[in-house]
Amino acid sequence: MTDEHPDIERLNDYLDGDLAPREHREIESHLRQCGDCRRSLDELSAIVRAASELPPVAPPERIWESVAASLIERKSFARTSGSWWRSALYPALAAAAAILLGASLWLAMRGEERPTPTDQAALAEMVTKELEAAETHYDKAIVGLEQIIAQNEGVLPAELASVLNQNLDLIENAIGESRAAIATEPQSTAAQESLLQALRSKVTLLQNTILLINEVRKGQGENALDLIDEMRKTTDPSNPI
Amino acid sequence: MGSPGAVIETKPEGGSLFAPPPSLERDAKRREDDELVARTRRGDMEAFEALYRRHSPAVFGLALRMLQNRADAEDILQEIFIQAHDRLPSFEGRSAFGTWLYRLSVNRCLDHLRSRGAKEQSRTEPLTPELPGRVTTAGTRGLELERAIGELPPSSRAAFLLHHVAGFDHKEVGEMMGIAVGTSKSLVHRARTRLKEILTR
Amino acid sequence: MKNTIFTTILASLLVASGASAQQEERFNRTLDVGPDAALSIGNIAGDIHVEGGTGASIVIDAVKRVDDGDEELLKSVDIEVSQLGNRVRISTEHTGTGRRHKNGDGNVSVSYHVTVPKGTEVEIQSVSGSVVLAGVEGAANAQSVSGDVRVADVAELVQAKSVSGDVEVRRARSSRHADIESVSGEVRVEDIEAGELTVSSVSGDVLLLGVSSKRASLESVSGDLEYTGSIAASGRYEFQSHSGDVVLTLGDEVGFELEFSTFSGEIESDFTLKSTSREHKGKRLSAVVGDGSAFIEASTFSGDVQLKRR
Repeated sequence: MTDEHPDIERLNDYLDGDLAPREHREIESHLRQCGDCRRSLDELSAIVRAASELPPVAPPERIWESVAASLIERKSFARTSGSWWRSALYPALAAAAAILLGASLWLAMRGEERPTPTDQAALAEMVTKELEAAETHYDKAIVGLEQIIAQNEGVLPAELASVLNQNLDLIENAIGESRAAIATEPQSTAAQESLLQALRSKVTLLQNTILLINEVRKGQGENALDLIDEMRKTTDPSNPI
Repeated sequence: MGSPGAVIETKPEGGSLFAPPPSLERDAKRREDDELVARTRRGDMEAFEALYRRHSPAVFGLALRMLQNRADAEDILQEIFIQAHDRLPSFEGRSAFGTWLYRLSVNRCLDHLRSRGAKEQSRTEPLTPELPGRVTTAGTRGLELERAIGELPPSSRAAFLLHHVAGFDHKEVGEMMGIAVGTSKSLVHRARTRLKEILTR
Repeated sequence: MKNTIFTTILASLLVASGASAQQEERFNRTLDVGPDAALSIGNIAGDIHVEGGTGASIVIDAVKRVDDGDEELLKSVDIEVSQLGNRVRISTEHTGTGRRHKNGDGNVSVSYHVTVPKGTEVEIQSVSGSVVLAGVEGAANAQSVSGDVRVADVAELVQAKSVSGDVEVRRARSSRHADIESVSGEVRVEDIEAGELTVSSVSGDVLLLGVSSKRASLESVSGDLEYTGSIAASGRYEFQSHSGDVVLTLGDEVGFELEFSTFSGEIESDFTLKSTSREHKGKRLSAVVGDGSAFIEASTFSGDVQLKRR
C-alpha cells in the first residue's frame, strides 16, 4: 500500500531508479502526499547533486616539478624528446631531484614495493622521526605526572598503591614489547600504534592515581594543594593525544 | 531542486542516474590518453606531462577528499604519479588510462588512511580539507558536504567519491576497490544516508 | 568538626546493649525532597546501596559496625547528613583521635541503604565498600576504589568506575558520554544505549553484550575484549588491546566495514570478508561485510582478533 513510509534504503533505490515499475509508481504516489518523505528524498537528491558538482582541484605547480625531478633522477626518460631537455627547467629539476627523492621514495614505501637497502634507511629515518615526536610528547607528560606522584609517596594506602603499581608495570611491559617490535620491524604500523596506545594508557593511569591522591588528601583535611591543577600543567587530560 | 512529487522519469542508457553517461566526448578523451600513454612508453616526457595535466586535478580532488589533509594529499599525488609512471609498462590498455589511474589512486589513499592509524583519525575532528577558496556552484552546500564527507569511514567515502564525484558506475567502482557491485551500491547508499544525517543534525 | 554552611546533623543512636563481639548502631533518617533531587554519598568502608523508588523522600537506613566490640571506635565514626533544598549529602567521617582516616580503620564500617525518588541525580563514592545503584533517572555516577560497582536500570549514566573492583552495568541509557572503567577488575556491560560509550580496564576483561549505542570504544591492555550482540547501522565501534584478545560475535542483520590490525596476533573470521585493502606488512585486514553500514575497528599488539557469527 502506498500509505506506508518507505525506509531510507527504499528512497535511495527510488532515487537511483532501481525499483521495479510498480514499486516505483507506488512510492512516487506516496511522495505526492507525504511531505516528510519528500523532504528526505530531496535531501538525498541534494547531496547527490552537490557531490556531482564538487570540482577537481588544480594542484600546485611544484608537485609536477617534484614528479618530474624524481623521474629524471631515476633516469626514467630516454633523451629522445629534444625540446624538453633544452628547457630551462631541466637543471633546476635535476638539482631538486636529490632532495625530493627521499620523500617520494618514503611515500612509495608505504605501499607494497620491497625497499632497496638505501630506501630502507630513508624510510626508517622518517618513521622514527614521527614516532619520536609523539613519544617525546608522552614522555614529557609522564615525567611530570610521576614527579607529582613521587612527591606524595605514602599518601595512598598500601593495597591500593600495590594494585596501581602492578598495573603500571603491566603497561610498562606493553611499552617495552612495542618498542622491541618497532626495533625489529620499524615499518609496522601495528607496532607503532601499540606503543602510542600503551603510552596513552600509562598517562591515563598516572592521572587517575593523582586523582586518587587528591581525594585522599582532601579527606585528610589537608590544605589540598589541588593536584588537579598541577596535573593539568603537565598534560591536558581532556585532550589526550 | 525538482518540484514536490517530481517524478524521475528517465535513466540514461548505460549509466547510473547521476553519473555522466558514455558519450562521444569520453571516447575522444580516451583515444587521446591512449596516444599519450604510448608516447610515454617510448620515453616521451612531454607526453607524460600532458597526462599529468589532464588527470592530476581529478586525482588531487580525490586525494584531498579522501585524506582530508592538504599536505598529505600533495605528497600522495606526487607518489601516485611516480607510481603510475613506474607501472605503465604493465598497463594493458583494457580499461581507460583514467580509470586505471583512479584505481591506483583510490587504493593508495585507502592504504594511506589505514596505515596512518585510523585510531588517531577517529579521535580527532575530521579536518576541513583546505580546498581552494572559490565557492563551488553548489555554494555553501558544497562546503558543508566536503566537511561531512570527512566523517565517512574509509570505504564508504571512497565508494561515494568514485561514484558520485568521479562518475564511475558500480561495476567500475567494484573493480577498482575489489568489491562486488552490490557492495558498492550499499556503500554508496550508506554514505548518502550518513551524509544526510550529518547535514541535517 | 569542620565548618559547613549546611546544617550538620549528628547520628542519632540506637545503642546495642550488652558486650558483644560485634557492635552495631543503626541510623535512620528521612528527608523530604522535591522531584529534582540530588544525592551524594561518600563512604570509606561498607557497602552502599541506592535505589530509586516512588515517593518524594530520601530514606536513609545505615548500620555502623565494629568487629571487635570497640565501642569507642564505633562512636568515632560519624554519619553526617546535610541538606540544602533538594540536595542531600551523606558522608562518613572517621574522626578517630582528631585524625581523619579516609582509608578506613579496618575494623569499622558503615553500610548504607538509601531509597530516593526515581528522578534523583545520584553520586556515590566509596573506598573499600561495594556500590549498587539502581532505578534512577537522574545523572548516575558510581565509583569505588576497591569495591565492586553495580549499576542497573538507570536512564542517564555518567560514570561507573572502580580501581580494583569489578564493574557491572545493566540496562542503562545515557544521552551523552558514559564512562565505565576499572583498572584491574572485570567490566561487564549488558544492554546499554549511550550517545558515546567508553569501556575500559587495564588488566581486567571487558565484556559488552547487546549494545545499541552508535559509538562505543573498548580498551584494555592485557584483558580480553568481548562484544556479543547486534550493532547499530551507521554505528562506530573501536576495540583496542595490547595482549588481550578481541572477540566479536555478531549477527547478520547489519553490515559493516572492518579495520583489523595486529602485530603478532592472529585474525580469524566466520564471515566472508571482501578485502578492500591489500597491505601486507604486519597483519592487517580491511574489508566490507554485507552492506558496510557500521564501522568496526579492532587493533591489538599480540592479542588475537576473532570475528564470530552468532
